Amino acid sequence: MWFRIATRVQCYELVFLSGLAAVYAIVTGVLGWQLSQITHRHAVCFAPASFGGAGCPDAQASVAGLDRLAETVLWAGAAAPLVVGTFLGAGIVAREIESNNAQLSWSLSVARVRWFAARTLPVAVLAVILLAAVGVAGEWLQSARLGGADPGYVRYQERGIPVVVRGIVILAAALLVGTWLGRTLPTLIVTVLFVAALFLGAGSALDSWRRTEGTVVLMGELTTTPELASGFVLERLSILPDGSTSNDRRVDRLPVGTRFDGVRVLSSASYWTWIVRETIVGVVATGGMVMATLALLERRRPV
Amino acid sequence: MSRPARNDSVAFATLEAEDLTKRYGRRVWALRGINLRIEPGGLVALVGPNAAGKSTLIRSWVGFERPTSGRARVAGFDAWTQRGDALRHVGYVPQNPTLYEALSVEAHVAMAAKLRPGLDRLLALRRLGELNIPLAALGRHLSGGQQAQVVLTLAVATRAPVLLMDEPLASLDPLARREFMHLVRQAVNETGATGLLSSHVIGDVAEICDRLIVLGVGRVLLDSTVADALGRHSISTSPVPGSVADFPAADRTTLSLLRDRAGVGANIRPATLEEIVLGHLAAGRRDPDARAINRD
Repeated sequence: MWFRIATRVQCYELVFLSGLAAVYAIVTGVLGWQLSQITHRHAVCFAPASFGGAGCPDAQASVAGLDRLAETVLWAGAAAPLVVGTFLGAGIVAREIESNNAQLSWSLSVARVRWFAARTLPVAVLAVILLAAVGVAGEWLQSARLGGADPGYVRYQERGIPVVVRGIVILAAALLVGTWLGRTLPTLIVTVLFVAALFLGAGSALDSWRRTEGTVVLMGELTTTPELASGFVLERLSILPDGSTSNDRRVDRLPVGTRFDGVRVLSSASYWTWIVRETIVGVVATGGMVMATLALLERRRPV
Repeated sequence: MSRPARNDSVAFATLEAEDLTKRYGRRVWALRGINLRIEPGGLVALVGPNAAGKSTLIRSWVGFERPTSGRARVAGFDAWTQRGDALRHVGYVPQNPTLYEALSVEAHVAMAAKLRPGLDRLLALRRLGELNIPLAALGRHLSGGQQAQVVLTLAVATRAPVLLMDEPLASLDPLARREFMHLVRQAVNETGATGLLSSHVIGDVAEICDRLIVLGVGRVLLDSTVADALGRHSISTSPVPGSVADFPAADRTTLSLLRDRAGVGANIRPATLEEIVLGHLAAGRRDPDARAINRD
């Protein structure tokens, strides 16, 4: 019954977001299929060290065009967590307070936690379904762009599990802000600012953590080693003849031969380890924000 | 005024306010040390002008307002710190009751039944049928009066021993007000619940209530049964020293409210309930810092 209530109360957002997710899935599906078809049909044109042949320039131009389009589509997928999380999250507590419905439901409910769980869980499930559709579609498109190869860390924030995890974190943030403000539009705006600050902080902390596990390699190794090619480039730096590294810009100006271009990189072999870690961080952040929301909810006036 | 027939299946609950104070921000005092005890049964009118603190007092009993000091209790449970236990004893009709726009009336009943264990779903559906409110109608398609009736029905269906109604008549037309009041009286009589109804229009509630509480500037100015209030006040059409207060009449003359029947003479007549309320409100305004409460 709560599922039915959630879908009716947030009908417009759900129809709109489902439509966007469906369009995204269809566009990524078509793009991925076309990329696969062209690269398969003209396999010789895309083989390593290929000299090409008749028809290759056209095929390569088509793939290049589709690839640019695919990049744009993937970029749009990166916005999915923000759109889904804020629109669905702001529509629960904030709107109930704003529209006076909270007075009715909170006076009927002997425990606000019970109301909150009943009202939020169905929306969270629907959000996961929508975000999973976007994440899977993005995964499929990125794989098609690489000819079926493991994409590793390439554009990893725009596809797969991170899309779902980020969306749920943002949904929890919108719930917290919505409970605090009790107004829908301010909740949307403040959630975006809050999430920007939250992700900036978390991203910076995660980058510091990743650096401790990154390895320094010569720039050339990035293209010759597949695991590094799809790895996570943490920073560019200079490798000095004594083996030490520097990311000082003045060192970059030293003549070639006295230094070598290098990068600190995470191998794609560590992809799943970091996905699990980021998911745990996301779950902890979500749990913290839900606890804060519940604490706030207990003290909140319904108007 | 007939006392409600108590239904033995209903637990009875007392409403209490003990030095209840509520301040918004640093300067706005909504309630200033309210002390009240409302025993089970009957319909109580909570009357006062705008910003008298009526809504704040009712919302304190629903657990929507955290007291600045003092306590609001329902059936002995603190409405803020033991909200769940207190709420089990309360059915609430808010000011401007609003249904979910996209939910049908039937879905509201189902939702209420999920939120409040023990809600009498059959009673709700039967009363809605009697009111000719279509169960399939969406909230957005119902008038303000119908929405108020649905919310009252849900509150009654909780079978809670206390019904708190915060100016539910404010958005209703005169006929709908009359119908709503009859519904309230009927509900209180049928279930034996205690009804507390706030309004800033005494005429709305005077006819059907058993007890009258006048609230002004955050204080209780009068707490009395309707019969006692009528029996113990009179009106002088000329100013009288020692009166409760002087206040303007509709014809621009000045009336004096006298405590205790001072006899009926050329200038003195029995006071109406509205005049009693106006007199005590005028007294409260004249002496806003007075702590005295008139309990007749």
